[in-house]
Amino acid sequence: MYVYDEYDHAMVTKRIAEFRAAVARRLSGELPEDAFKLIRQMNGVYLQLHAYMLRVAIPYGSLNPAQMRRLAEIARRFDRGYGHFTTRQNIQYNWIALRDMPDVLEALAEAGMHAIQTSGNVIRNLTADHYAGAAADEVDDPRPYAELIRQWSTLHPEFSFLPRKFKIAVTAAPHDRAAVRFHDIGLVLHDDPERGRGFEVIVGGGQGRTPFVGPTIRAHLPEAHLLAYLEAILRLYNELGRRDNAYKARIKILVHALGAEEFARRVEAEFARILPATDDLPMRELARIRDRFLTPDFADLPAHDPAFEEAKRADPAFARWAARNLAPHKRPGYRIVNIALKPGGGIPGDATAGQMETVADLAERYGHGDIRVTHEQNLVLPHVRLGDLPTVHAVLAEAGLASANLGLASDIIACPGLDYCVLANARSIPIAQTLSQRFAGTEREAAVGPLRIKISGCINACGHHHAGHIGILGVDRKGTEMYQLTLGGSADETAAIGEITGRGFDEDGIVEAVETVIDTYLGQRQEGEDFLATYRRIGLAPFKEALYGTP
Amino acid sequence: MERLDLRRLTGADLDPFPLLADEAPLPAGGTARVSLVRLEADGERLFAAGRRLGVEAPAETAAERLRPWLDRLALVALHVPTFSDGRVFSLARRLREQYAFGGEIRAVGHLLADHAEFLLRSGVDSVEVAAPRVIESMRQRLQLYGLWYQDAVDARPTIVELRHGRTRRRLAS
Repeated sequence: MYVYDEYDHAMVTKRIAEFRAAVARRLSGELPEDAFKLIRQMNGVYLQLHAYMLRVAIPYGSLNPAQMRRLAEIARRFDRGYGHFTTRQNIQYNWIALRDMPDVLEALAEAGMHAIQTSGNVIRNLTADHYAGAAADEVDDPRPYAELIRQWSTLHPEFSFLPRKFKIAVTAAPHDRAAVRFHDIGLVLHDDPERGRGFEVIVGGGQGRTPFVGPTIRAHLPEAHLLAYLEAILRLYNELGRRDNAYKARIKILVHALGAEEFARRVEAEFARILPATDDLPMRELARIRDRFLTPDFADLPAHDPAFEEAKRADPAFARWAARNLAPHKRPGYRIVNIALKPGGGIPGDATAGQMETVADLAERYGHGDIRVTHEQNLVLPHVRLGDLPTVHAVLAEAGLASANLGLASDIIACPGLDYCVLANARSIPIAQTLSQRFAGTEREAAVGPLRIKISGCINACGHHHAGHIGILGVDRKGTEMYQLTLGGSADETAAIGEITGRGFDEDGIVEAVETVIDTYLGQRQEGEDFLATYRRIGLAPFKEALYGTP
Repeated sequence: MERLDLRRLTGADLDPFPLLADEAPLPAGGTARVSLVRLEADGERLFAAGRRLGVEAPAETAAERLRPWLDRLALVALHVPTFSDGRVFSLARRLREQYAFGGEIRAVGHLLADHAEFLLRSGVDSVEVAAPRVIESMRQRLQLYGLWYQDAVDARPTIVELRHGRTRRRLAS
């Protein structure tokens, strides 16, 4: 966990005074909404269907227990007792009164948090592998690089009025948990035996109405050149990105229009121009940032723990949870614990203040003070000893946080949809709830195995439906909410965009359609195949036939 | 029109460089700025008058296009068509860093107070707007905000420099 220094604190607190003055002027009517918009967007405040919404940045999804408690306190004092963790590893509050916003920002700043650049046409809050610093398969912890980029991109003088929003994701593992190929820039850290440490640079991925799997424009970028290379990419985008049509303004459209090769050629030319004049301080700063990260003091533990094994034998619920929700840790005797915020029939990503506090307590007592938010709207305790897992599970179960469904049918991603969002065409949450109700904890869910269902309430795709094994997209058909179905999407290193099955379904029909798709998979799968593997082998046709009667 | 020198926080010392209509003759004395189209059509004759001359370029202008004139221009005015159009930040930075333009860069058009420190740090010296209120807000902001992380067109130290107790050193490629 990165610990703010005096400068980081000063950057955040100075902005709050200005925001407080602006809110007062807005409330008095002196400042009209359109003039207020830029100021509130810079501070993460949106105007939604029913109220203002505050999106708090959780840089690269990393939180300490004090910060999580602060988020809980804000939920209790200023909202309705809960918050909503999003697909951007952030938290959103939907019911905070505008007059309270400056106090909330101040409460966040005290805990080393802010809402800067969670909105607007800027470099947004950075995302990263939620297992960073713990994953057995990573090269190194990618978060110091992410923090370096966070600081560089904060209130950047040249890149604060971009054609459109800009999202960067970082991972350091071959198995991509950060969906780097669906970001404006994706960075994959690697250690090359000959060329040393560097990044694969992917540009122009994205979802929305024109989805693209991002192409690699540089296979190996030396780590020391990271910020210069980002500057070259952002400058070209700022200069050449379309500004005449918001739907065509993301960098993916520019990369596609020029072609990845031509785009890469231009980036390389600009990079070559600025490199000789580039500051060498970022590498020193990276070292300082590493020192400011509180890294756990791991114990030397045996790889097996008798208490853990015994608990699995004695308690089937614990055994199911352990089989589903734990991931390998880089140190023997530790596991990564996934806390699914997906109770049967619940709202994906919602957590009550009490639940947040439970997670904070567990992190403090059993988790080296580290908490992560995932883009799949779950939480993670990245470093827990095997021997502590039975206790952790019991406490989670008590708090309603022990759903043993990670990566299964009821571990659904959904955007807020028409229940909250001003852009949505259809509701997403009720569809997620119905599907979750149907599958959570059932034998059928266990039989189906790994399955990613992702639901968006409009073409902007905040629910990542393009990348769902099963994707659901809400559309408006002459005033009726309808749902399109896509199959075969994937957000990992085998990134793919789902294919549309055909005509859409109504609210009841879409749930039955998902059942039909699952039946088809179960009927067609071969030994050891998960849904995606079967889909990739047999293609769309058998599913279309089952859904519509014609292939 | 109100003007502000973003460093001195006053407009008093700025030359006005009023924008001439393309058909209008060069006035007998004082400064003036002409459109980029007029500069390109008639630049040699305009400079022959020996006047301190400026140009006003639209946001979409490539820096390369201004290059042939930079040695002789006293001012480059960059026109911001709408506040959300951030191309001038890159254009100003290129004029400074890529083409070493040493004259005045002035932002004109749809400017908001929120632009102030970003303009200054991208290499813009001054602004020209219709509303005195914007000038006053800009002055306040520029006094309020003096900390930033990243290197830009700015002689003042960055947070990174302050942390490491030294100024920038260049990285050999």
